[in-house]
Amino acid sequence: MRLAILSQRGGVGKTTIALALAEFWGASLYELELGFPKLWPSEPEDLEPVNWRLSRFDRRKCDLCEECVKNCQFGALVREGEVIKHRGHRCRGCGLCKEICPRRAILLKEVKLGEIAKETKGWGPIYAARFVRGGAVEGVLWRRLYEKYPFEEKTILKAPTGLNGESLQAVKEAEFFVLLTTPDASGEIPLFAEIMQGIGLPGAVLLNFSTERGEEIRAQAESSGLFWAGEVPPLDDLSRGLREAYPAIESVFSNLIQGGWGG
Amino acid sequence: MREIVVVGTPGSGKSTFCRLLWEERPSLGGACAEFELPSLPHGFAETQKEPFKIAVPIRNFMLCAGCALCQKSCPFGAIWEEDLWIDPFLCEGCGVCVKNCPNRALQLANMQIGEIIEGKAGERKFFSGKLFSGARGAPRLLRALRERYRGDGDVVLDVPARYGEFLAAALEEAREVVLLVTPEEPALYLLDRVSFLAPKARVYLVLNRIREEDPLVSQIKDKGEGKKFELVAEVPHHPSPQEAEDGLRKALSAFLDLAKL
Repeated sequence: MRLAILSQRGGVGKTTIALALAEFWGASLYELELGFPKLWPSEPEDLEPVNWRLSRFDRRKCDLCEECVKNCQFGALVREGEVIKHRGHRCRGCGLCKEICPRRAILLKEVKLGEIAKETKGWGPIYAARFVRGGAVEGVLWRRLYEKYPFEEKTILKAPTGLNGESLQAVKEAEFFVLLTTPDASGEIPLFAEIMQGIGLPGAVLLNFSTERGEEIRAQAESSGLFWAGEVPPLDDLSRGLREAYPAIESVFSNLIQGGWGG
Repeated sequence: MREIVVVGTPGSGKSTFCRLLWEERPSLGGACAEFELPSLPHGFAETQKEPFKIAVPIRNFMLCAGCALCQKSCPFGAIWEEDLWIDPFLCEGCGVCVKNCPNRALQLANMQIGEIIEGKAGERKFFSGKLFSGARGAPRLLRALRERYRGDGDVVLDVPARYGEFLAAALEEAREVVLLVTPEEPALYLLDRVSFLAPKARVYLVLNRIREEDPLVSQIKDKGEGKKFELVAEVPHHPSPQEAEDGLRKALSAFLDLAKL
């Protein structure tokens, strides 16, 4: 089973929960937050640069016909006075400008976009990717990560923060989606339920830093057609890991995995 | 026009900092890039709403001969070989397939995926945006939001914890950035990222929720100094929300002095 862990906001404990779940379940874990990967290995194994092509502009050949400016969908090419300015950070490397330039003033050049690496833990591997420069074509890095490290039987995909299309793009191969939320959040559960209805795959809610509002949130999740995985109270000391600090997490996790499989 | 872009690690107090800054300086406009669950601040009324659209390739099956040139030419592998379905999670909307279609069966159509919202309280303005549920295009909506408020006075932009292309869009051509971090290992990497995404910006660094004798604090400060970030304040960790807010308030007044705001 491929399980995705999502959260709408940062700081809700996604990294802690994902690590503990991977260890409990014996699963491989993919860190998909490319701009701020908390699980980037401290000692990376198999470090591999990921290159991507971006357009390069030759002003000497340009006759200012502005075909490229008109056609670039990303606003990467703009005319400023007597030059076409190329804003490299907006370029997604599609190559359309190169194809249509009548003067062949545009070339594609390979640049290092990011890197991917792995780390072997006692229970299994962590795979991670991150950006190394300004350009941020996310799909390229995720694709390379999945190509190089095909999914194993038990896989956890730790999505980038957010409940938008970019986060869903990262975990599009998941079969089961878990929203990690907190009691002070409002509107996350209906939004998640709406998204899951669109995707047509099962979704679950796991409540972190739970309070006496837990039952209320459970009712909200269940009435939205989501599986209730359980709740985790606020914990003071996580220095020795979640399972040490809160042994009851195991029943939450087994509930989540069995429920997700069945439901 | 001044634009203060506030970014940082999760739970570092970005939104509180923005709110305090905003309370302190009533001449500043506000903007928030929380597009999934947007809200206007208390007392604001929605005055304008405009659709936000992006270009999406649409196939006209009456004209499509099934030649698959689109599939072969797609730089992002977004078109399925079996049925030429365009995967919306992979398509970037670049238009290469449209240019390569010999039958003009593909066209780029502007489809609405969200809206830009303007709110007002008296003379004060607040800009926000909404993305339709599950829609992909948050970085582009952020760019559109910034273009919308530019030229409309000074503004502070609250950027939620998204770090991929979204952060790149938030920092694009930024001149003044407040970077809030809590002492944790990945924060060092975020410092690098901010410096290469906003190379021309003046960056004000706020360390929040510092516990005593944390070795990471000096590492973060050294790295910040190396990048010529200006250290605004080091706020100690407070368990109570009120004390935590008071700590940030002190950081804010140091920032206002430093930024001459």
